[in-house]
Amino acid sequence: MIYRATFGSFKQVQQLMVNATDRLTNASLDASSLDRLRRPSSHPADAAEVVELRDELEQYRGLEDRLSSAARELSVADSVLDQAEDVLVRASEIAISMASEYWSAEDRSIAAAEVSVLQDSILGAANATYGGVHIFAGTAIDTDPFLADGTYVGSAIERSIPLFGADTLVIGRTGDTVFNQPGEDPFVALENLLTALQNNDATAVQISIDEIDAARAQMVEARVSYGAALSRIEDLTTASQDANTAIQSVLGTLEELDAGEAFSALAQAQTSYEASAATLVQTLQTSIFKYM
Amino acid sequence: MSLFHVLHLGSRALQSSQAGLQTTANNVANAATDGYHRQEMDFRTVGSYWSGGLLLGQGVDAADVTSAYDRFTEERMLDEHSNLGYSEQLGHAYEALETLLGGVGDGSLSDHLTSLFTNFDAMAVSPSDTTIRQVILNDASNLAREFRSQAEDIMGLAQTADESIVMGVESINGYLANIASLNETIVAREAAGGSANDLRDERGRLVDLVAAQLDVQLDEADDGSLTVMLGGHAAVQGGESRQLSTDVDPITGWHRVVLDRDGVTTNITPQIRSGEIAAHLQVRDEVSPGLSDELDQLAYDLMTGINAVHSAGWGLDGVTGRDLFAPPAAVSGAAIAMEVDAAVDGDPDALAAAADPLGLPGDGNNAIALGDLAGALLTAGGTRTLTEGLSDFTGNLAADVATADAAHSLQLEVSTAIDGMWAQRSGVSLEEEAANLIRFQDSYDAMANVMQITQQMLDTLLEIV
Repeated sequence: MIYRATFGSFKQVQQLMVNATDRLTNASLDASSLDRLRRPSSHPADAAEVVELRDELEQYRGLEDRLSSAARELSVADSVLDQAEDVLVRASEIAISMASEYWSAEDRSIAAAEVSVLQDSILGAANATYGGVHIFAGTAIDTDPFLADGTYVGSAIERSIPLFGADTLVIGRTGDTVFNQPGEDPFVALENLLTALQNNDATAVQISIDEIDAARAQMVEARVSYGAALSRIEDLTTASQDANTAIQSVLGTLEELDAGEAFSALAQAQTSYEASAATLVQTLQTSIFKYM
Repeated sequence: MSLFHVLHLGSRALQSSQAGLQTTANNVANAATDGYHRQEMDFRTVGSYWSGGLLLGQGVDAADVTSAYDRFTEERMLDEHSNLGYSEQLGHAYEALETLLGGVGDGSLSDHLTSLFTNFDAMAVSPSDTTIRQVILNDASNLAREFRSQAEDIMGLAQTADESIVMGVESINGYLANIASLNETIVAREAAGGSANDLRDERGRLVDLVAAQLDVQLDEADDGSLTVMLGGHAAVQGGESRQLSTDVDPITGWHRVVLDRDGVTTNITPQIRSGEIAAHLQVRDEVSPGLSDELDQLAYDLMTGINAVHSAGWGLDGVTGRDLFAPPAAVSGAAIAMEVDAAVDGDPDALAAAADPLGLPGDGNNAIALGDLAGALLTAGGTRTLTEGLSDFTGNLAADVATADAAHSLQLEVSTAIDGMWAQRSGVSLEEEAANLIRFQDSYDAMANVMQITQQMLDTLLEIV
């Protein structure tokens, strides 16, 4: 279209110049920031999606932190139960040995002293702490959950951590479910063994062997449950890390500009700007008056 | 027929060429003047007379200077400039909103909300950890501050729009008074047979400035007087202009645009559909309240949802029934009033992580319930989670900004095109003026030669005597 008025066409070229300047400014900011959502209005749907994905990403990160913390505590609990099992193994060895008629009352008295030490070890295990938290106290984490006689005085409420959604994982069992199961109570078993040894009662010592084995089996069973929880944590951690990686990948696509594209767009905007500038200058310089 | 007639004809032709030259010079001088319409010299043949049985011509006269005026283009340009003022101001407002509210990164509303929920879960792992409790209080405080800040930004934008309406109206009054004054002068000059092209240009420029602020309707009378209608009411009629002013709406507290005449005011606000003032009105009366309502609803749903769970739990101090956020009185104004409840503010032990008073201090079951709220459908009438609600808020705002941006770009194209059309029909072409310059110069030179020859002929005659 040929315009009659020089200044009419000048204004149009001037507007093109303004547009080219805007494009160059935006391309420069895009290339320097490589932020695809620098202006969310450039990709409204993606901006909304990023809000939700960032939230999910943080939730997965939080979950991994919780799982990691839970794994450490559960490993300590497992280790403590392993020690308790060792204590009961030793108690079982003592009981099997002292059940023989061969041993004298004095021998059994010496053995009783060792069993008393083993009782302290079991009590120590049941009252074990990790980071100041009593592992087998349920939610009453700040006080010893077991009295010296093995009576559980901790909380009846288990400690759990949130997983994803409404799902939870128990990390702090109540101590009575671990150490006070009827017929499998290590405190009772050791106390019965101690009494039998102190009374030089070989028959009672013999009977205590089964009780100790049952308590030992209970420790193993408890360890199995902790092992299962640790295994679940491992699975969840792997799943969370996979999800985390996938989300980060999507976020990268949504939030980050491809450097090649950004620099190419910048070069294009520069060319467009220079062309507009040249056109503007040419328009200004072109005048019939120069030929008069 | 006499040689003196020829001299007289030549003199008139020289004057006409000079007048043509002056018109060209005026066009060149005003080539870049806003609103200036190209002027053209209207040359007319002077009547003939009989001499010696011959009908002889008497030359040329510069009869009139006309202005290149195309009513259709003028009216369209006025409309499009009004629409451009509207789209430009609306675009600016949305651009500001996007900068203030549209962020999706660190420090955004969603960022603070995510942090709060993540740390509720962390508190569930270590319910008695004072550090985590303090972090949660900080999160809640930051979230409340961001809600308040965004609500204040939205309100600030509405207030700025309201102030802009007042300033826009004030600027228009000066234009209206000048248009009325020009009306009088134009009518008087044209009635006396003179040309008022330059005055008409100036009047048109002023009308264009008014149109950039709000939509105008024009009606030109036969005598050249222009009636300017604003909102269906005459703001300028003949040599009189009505005062445009603002008053405060007693219900909303915002300014209204009113036309004042002899103490009688007419509210024309509802009739304003385009121009910058229309954009300010839309930002103030529709965009800002819409965003405020959305933000208030989110804040209300968030506070009531979290408070309901928090107040059911127990703090480390064995106390229950406390809210995390100061309970909102109503949905309206919930965001700007959002704050951490005084009963828990500064007291980490007051955070209700426990679900059972006997389970202290390792009971994080209420913290788990608080964390679960991240996935609860608490907003949008129980159909969206809070994060989804914020995502909708961000996405909708971004879409509105994009729409306003696209509308402005389109309007800019339309306005530029109509400006080009105007320039084609009414603007000054330096090339054309240069050609005219040569034409008048040639004409002047030729006529001067004729007169010179005529003078020589007269001298010859005188020598005979």
